[in-house]
Amino acid sequence: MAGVMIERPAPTVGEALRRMRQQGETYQGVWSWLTTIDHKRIGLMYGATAMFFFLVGGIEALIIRLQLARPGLTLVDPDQYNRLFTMHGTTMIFLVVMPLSAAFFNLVIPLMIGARDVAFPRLNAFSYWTFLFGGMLMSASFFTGNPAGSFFEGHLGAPDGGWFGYAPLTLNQFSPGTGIDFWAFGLLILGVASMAGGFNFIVTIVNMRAPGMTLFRMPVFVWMTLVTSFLIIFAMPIITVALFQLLFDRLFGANFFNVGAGGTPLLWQHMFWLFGHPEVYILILPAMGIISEILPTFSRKPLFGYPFVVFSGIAIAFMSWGVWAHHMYTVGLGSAANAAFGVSTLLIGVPTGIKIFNWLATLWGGSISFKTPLLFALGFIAMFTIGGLTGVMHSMVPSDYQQQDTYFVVAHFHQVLIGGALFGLFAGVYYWFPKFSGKFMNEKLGQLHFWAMFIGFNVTFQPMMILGFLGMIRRTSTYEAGLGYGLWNMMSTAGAFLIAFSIAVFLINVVVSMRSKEDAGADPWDGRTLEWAIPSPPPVYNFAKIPQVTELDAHWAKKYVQNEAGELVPAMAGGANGDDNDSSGHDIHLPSPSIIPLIASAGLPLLASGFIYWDNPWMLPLIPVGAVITLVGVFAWALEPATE
Amino acid sequence: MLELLTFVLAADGKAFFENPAYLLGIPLIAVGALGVLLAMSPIELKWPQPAPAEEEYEIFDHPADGHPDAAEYVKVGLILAVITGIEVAIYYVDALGDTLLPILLVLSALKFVLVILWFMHLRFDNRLLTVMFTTGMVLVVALFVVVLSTLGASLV
Amino acid sequence: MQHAPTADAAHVTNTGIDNRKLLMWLFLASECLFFGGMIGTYLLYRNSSVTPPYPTDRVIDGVAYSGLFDIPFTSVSAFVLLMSSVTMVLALAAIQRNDRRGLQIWLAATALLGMTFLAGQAFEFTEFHKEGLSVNTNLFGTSFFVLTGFHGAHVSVGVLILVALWVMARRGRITSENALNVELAGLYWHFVDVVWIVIFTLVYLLQ
Repeated sequence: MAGVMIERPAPTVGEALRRMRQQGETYQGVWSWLTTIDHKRIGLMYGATAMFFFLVGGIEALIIRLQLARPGLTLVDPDQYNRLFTMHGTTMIFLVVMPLSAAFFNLVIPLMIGARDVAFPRLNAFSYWTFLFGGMLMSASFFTGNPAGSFFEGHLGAPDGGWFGYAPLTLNQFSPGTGIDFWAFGLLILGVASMAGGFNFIVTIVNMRAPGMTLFRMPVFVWMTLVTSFLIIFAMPIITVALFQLLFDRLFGANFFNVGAGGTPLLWQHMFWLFGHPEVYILILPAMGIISEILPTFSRKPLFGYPFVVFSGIAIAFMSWGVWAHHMYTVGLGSAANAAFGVSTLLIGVPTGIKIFNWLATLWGGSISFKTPLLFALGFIAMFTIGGLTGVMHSMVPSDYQQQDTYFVVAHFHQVLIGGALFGLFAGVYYWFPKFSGKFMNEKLGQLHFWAMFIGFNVTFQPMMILGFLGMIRRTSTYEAGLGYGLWNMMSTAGAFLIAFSIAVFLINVVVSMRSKEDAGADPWDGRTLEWAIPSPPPVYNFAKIPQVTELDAHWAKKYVQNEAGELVPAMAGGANGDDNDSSGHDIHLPSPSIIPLIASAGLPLLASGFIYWDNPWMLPLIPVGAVITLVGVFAWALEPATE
Repeated sequence: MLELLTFVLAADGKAFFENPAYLLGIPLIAVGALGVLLAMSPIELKWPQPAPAEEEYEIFDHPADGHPDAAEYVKVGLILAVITGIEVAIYYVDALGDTLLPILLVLSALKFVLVILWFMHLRFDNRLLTVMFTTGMVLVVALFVVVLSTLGASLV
Repeated sequence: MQHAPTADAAHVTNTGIDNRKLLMWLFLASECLFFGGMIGTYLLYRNSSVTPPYPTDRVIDGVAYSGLFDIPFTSVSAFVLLMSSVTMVLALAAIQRNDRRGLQIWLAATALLGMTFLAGQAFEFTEFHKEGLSVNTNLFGTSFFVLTGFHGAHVSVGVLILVALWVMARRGRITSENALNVELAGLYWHFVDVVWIVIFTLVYLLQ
């Protein structure tokens, strides 16, 4: 099938396509970014887009905090408040933490396993564009108004059902307007993006490792990516079903969650948390992988108990399927079911604890250098431990009955998602920045960023723990004076602005560092894994010669050997520092750039918009238009040769 | 497995064991979970050989010896047709009563397995593929047996 | 549909499994969860409809309602889809022996059987609709139409792939070297078939 476009029909289209591809191959200009299928560039685009959405979600959070700073404020009304916290949660989970993890998968995984790209480069580009369009579709809901005559007329049309979207709150009756439709379609499209990425990385890791890199010679980050990808491909279909059911209920009057017709809203809760709990580990496992790379590098010791860290990651993934009903203790499943899910939730703390102890043991006795990546990694361990322990408190059913829907829960999951996932991801940014830019991040600004964020984080969320115990209910837009909430809320708001300041420092740091003249070199941290064996930034083809792997920490093993006394000494043959990564003399054949993934994913938001406004005859044609664009994209994809 | 424990505990003891669908579900899940565990255990794991032997790769270009030929496919197809016929026939036998359900489940599972093993070549292909597909199947059966039993749904 | 569209075309995979085949199997494993969710929902709502029409004959408060399911008709269409799996695997066996004519014939037969199944489903949906069943009528309508509708959509995609393959085969672009294209389409097609095996038993035959 290869070569159909070139050989025979439609010379104009084929010719134009070919010229576009040649332009893409120059690696300059906007066009080369639109057509890129290079995993490094896709990773950078993932990261930049996620940072943009991070600012959006952050501004939403700051408005929420301002509204709650003192009792009885009316900065936003209750309806707008609902929309803000819904979009804050959805944005931060699906448009920030997941794509930031995906950015690291893209940037690092092929380098770590010694491959020239992922298994399906064009599918990878498709993942990114689909993610971007899904995020844009969902955010576009802010610009829609509600139809005239509805209670919410004239307000912002963003979704208002919470990130969990519990039916029947999300049905037409309680959430008129199009907000929830945008939310559901946005999540469906983002699900396509995540699943395409998940398939791609499983195939890449299973099939494309450098010779000699057996499964148990893979870096832990690669392992965690593999595990996360499996969670993604098994969890996403469940939420897909639930979202389709919700949309059928909303758009076509189906009865899935209609109690009057005999349906049960509990079905939504089950389906959502069947997906939702593995999702929690989709968010945290990549960060755990990053930490497991950074700690050994900055303490100059191998990871303590590598197999235990790997197997506890796998165990967490398995057990994450058996704990979903701990989100539903108070719906009345019965005490036996609650007890069983309580037990399984307690058990999942065991592999998590194993990881934490192994990280601590990695640091023990190491020659530690307190650079910014390590600071964030240490912040991760401390904050994630608190988050995990509060999670153990939630797993006790009677205790959870008290905590349900209070700020204690809010404090817990921010402790895990910011103190855990986000700290881990920032650690990764500081750690791999030199690899992909060739420049160090400014260390002083980095330290300022860390301490401002660490202190700001604790000032924001520890008061929420206390608020939770005082009984403050989450998802309410204000509270009355005299309940003793005022002081803690004011503290929390102040802390939120300190976090905002730290993020500003980070952004300034990126700009400053990009302009610095200092060259970081191929291996600035004296790293252990293969990505440090090639120059910074890596050439398009990554490895001129595919490396031969003989043990874990492949790059370290080339640099250092043990002498008779068991001390580490530099290996004789100069080691590997990227100098020998010269492509001259090699004929490296890379896949050509392609615009088609972008076209194929562009049809999806159009299709979705057509369905959202399907009762409007002017918008209805978007359905066939979107479908045709996607179909044409897919067919062109199949016909286009991968390389020329 | 935990799921198993959960739904044994979750349902009302007597009604639970009177429900043949769930009775069949328990051994199904147990066997499936055992299979996945066995397949996952590093001792049994045959996948990722760093440098695959030449013959191993060849299989995918040319059907290996022992790969079924057209006649064998037709034979499997005939068996599938016969099973479908039996299913429809026993559907009309009123005397079967409650035993109809387990018989139908077994027959359709048999068809399922025949298609997967022969037509989709899992019998002759890399075990890793079987592991992945089985994981998906076992996962979905286990999860929804628990969901349905906690929601009090019944197959009979 | 390139051969081994990797960054390094000569790269031999670690497991010996072709990248695209692994991708297809992962996709099918993931689809298990999708159809599992749909079928689970149908089973949950099996006897929960509070208004007629019902799938099978029943008497409620002394009023007899006749069921909508036409088992002989559905058995025939289930049989048609099952036989399309046989023709599909024969198409693969043909091209693996480099029998291009056999490939064309069996691919065409598979596509035609698939279309017959779809036509049967269209007929069934129309009949049910005439009897007053829509997606918003009751829980049976909701869960039945959404489940079988999504399955039908999968079959339609499969027919599209088969027709595209058939056109390629007619132009002589499929040989025993790139028989993997046929094998991948076959995997998808057989999966859609086994889903119908499950649906036929759990949705139609269970009373």
